[in-house]
Amino acid sequence: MSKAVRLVFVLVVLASMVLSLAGCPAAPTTPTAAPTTAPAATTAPATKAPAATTAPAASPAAATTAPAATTAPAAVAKQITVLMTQEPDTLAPHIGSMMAKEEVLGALWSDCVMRDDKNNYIPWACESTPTIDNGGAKLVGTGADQHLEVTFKLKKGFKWHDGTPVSSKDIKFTIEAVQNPDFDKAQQRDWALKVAEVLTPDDQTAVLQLMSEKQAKQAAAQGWKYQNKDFYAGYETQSGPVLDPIYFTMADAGNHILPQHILSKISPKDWEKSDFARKPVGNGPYKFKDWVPAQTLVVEAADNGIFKPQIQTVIFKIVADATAVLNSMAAGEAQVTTQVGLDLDQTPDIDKLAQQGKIKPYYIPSTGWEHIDLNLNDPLFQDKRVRQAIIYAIDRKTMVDKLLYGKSAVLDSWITPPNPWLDPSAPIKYDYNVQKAKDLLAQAGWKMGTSGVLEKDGKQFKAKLQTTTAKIRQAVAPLVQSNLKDVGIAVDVEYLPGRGLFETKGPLLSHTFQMAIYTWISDPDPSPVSLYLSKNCPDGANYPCYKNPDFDKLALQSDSELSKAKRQPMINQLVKMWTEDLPAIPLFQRLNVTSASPKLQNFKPAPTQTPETWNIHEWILPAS
Amino acid sequence: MRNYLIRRLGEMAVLLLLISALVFVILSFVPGGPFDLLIFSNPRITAAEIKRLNEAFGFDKPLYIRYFQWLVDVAGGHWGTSWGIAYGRPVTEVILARLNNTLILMGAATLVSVIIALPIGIYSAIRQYSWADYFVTSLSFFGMSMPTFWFGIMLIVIFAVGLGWFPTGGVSTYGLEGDILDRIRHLALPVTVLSLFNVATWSRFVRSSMLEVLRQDYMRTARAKGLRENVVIIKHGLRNSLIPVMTMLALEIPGLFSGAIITETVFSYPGMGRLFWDGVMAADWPVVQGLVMITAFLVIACNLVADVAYAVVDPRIRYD
Repeated sequence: MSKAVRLVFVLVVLASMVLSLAGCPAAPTTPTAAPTTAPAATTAPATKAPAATTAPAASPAAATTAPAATTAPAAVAKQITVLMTQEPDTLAPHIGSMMAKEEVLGALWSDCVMRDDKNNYIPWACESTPTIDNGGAKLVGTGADQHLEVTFKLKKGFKWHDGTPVSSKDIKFTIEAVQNPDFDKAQQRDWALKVAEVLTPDDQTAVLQLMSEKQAKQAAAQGWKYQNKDFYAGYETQSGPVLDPIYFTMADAGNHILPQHILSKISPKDWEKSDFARKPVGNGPYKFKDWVPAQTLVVEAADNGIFKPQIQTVIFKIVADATAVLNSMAAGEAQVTTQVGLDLDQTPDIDKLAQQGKIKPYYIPSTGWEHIDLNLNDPLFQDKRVRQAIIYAIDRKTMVDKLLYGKSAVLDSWITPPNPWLDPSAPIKYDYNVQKAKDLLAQAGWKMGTSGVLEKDGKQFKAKLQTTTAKIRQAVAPLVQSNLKDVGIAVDVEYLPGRGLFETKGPLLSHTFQMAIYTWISDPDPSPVSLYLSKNCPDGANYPCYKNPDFDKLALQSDSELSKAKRQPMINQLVKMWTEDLPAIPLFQRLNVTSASPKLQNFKPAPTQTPETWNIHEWILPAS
Repeated sequence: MRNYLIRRLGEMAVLLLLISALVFVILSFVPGGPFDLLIFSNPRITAAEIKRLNEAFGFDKPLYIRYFQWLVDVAGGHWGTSWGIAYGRPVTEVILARLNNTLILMGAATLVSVIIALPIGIYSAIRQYSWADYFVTSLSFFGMSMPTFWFGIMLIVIFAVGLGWFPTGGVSTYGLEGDILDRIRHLALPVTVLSLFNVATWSRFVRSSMLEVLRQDYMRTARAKGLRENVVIIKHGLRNSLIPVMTMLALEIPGLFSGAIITETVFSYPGMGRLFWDGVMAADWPVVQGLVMITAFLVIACNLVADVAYAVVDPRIRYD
């Protein structure tokens, strides 16, 4: 072989090696995202509606420390192993967006307010959840100076793993750090940017002042404190105080408080490289012990002054894939699996292990909701009777029973249960009914043509349904196709690989789709503003381009209503309008699939993206 | 020989440079990056935020500048910073953390394979067409055609889950990192999987190489001299037949470092193969680039070593 030929050969081999491998990382295997963001293209973009609400009532159960250990036998296991299929990329809070990291931080950090397994916000390291109703949050000032003030009061005795008390100055430090452009790898900062000022009247109390209209306009014109005005785009037109739907949490997931006494000595630019990112000093029920890359991450019981863990050592073990997770559980090597590992596809294997008594599975319908968006700009879908006919024609019950192994439930609206805002009587319910579907289509002027496809004005009812290549959607789409064929609608299914559906010039964002199946992660707050307000189309997340002036008006009105009692009827009315108009066909809730040893007590996986470890100090495992 | 070496080393440098540029360019065109997940999951992310993140990672600079920056860094010993596997950590640290595991796994597998494959190959060559030869031949085909992922999972199901003799995967039990027995228990199943394939192919290789040598005139001469059969086989036969086998083993060296993607994944073994896989899946291009460069270097270097070794062992071959 001549040298030139050999050189070319080696190049080609290497190039094809890289290409063939690089070609595969289509979305399905991208790392699972943490609560601050939604899973990537396999599921869908996340939303957070800009609205203010009162907080859900705090559940008294988890208000203080661990439940009395009276039920636990005397002999308690000293060690527990938790499996994950991904390794945290870092343990520094606010950097990166991996769910695997949040699972570990669930043990290492105790947040001020926690979103629990009932989807309620409960006080955790703070004494209460500061809401409008309980006086913890209030609107202060008048006119353009009016702003929301939220008071967080830390529990007494709360301390860092090195013994330093956790103080309100740490809260101030955290929020200012996230605002600071030097912390250039901060992933989620929109919540922090709404804060104009943090006051610390005493060591326990931090008062967050959100921006007033005047401050917002000033920020939009010349920036605010650390940031230039680019980050406040949109605030020029702010009317009324800046609000946040989850003002009572300091943010949904990014609320891990940072230790000022350690991090103030390091430039925020260098946090990711510092020891803190690999061996953090936290304030949770467990403290960092050991991290063997790609193998184990070990934490051990600590004294944070407010929670008392029952199990001495927790080993987070990194395994390769779901098969390895199940084998490891079957062999009794581990006691807990997390969202970062199993999913619906493993249901038959999980149930088999459950029957053998080896594990207890948890299938938790989550805040991710699968739906078909209908493009209302398309003449085919402009008549709401057609949209109602489509939902009648789709056998969603069978879909859930067969494709989701009966583990989830048919969904009625964009508010996913459990949610304190969901009034079960509000949505209009549509059961599978082919006759009603046919009647509605006939009323809308569609007549059955000779080829079994509906016709109107000489045009056939043919539509394209686009979705991703995710396994569940490859099963759902054909079912939709066959259901709609039964009523005379011819559907062409297209599976777009990778992020095709969500590309900037893709069918959704460019509004060139007809029907599209994907998932939204629903917000803790029920506001439909970002998804269904008419001004959010074409620029915004209102992909179906739903435009209903009455809905707009009520949605905006409900967003500025801070009293839950007054807002609830508005939300109910919005749900009713939406389920009548059906800009999207809600299908079902996706599942958080986890499992644990049947002996493990107080394991309470949440329907949200709260990590399974959120209440880890309450876990009890009797010694075997 | 010296001129030959200098020329080959020069070629090697050019080749590595070309490969690095090619890989760098290709990876930069693959979708995915450090904050991809964030952008795709948050439709409300502002243009200012995206711009800020781009600047933070240096993506705002043109490709060739980024490449030269990377080259300069590499020349200074900095292989970049991981952004997916271990946020903010140097690539070299990430790779070194796994290298040891892979060397142990692949080294053990290679050793076991050689120890088994050599005698089998020699024996079935000497006793060509005997029942033992047929038996070994069918066994080889079994080994070669057995898909590693399936065989691995079967071993786990039977010996780890069912019988509980071995762990289902990993490198060691937490708390027993220094324990040799624990290590061996963890290595047993993956080494079995890797060795099955190696033994199957290598024993065929040894067999055919040996068969060729056995037919040579000097073998007849050796026998005619009245040497004992053992001496004929080992001193004259084996030594000559090992020349191609040595070349083959030299070309296996890159594998010692790059690991085995499938086996390491099936056994949750944190080695280089799985690092490559994890790196690609996490779109951690600095790590992937580093791994590809190491592999490329080893492939080219080992080719050179094999060529040179050939000349050293076999006096008939000369490079001028």
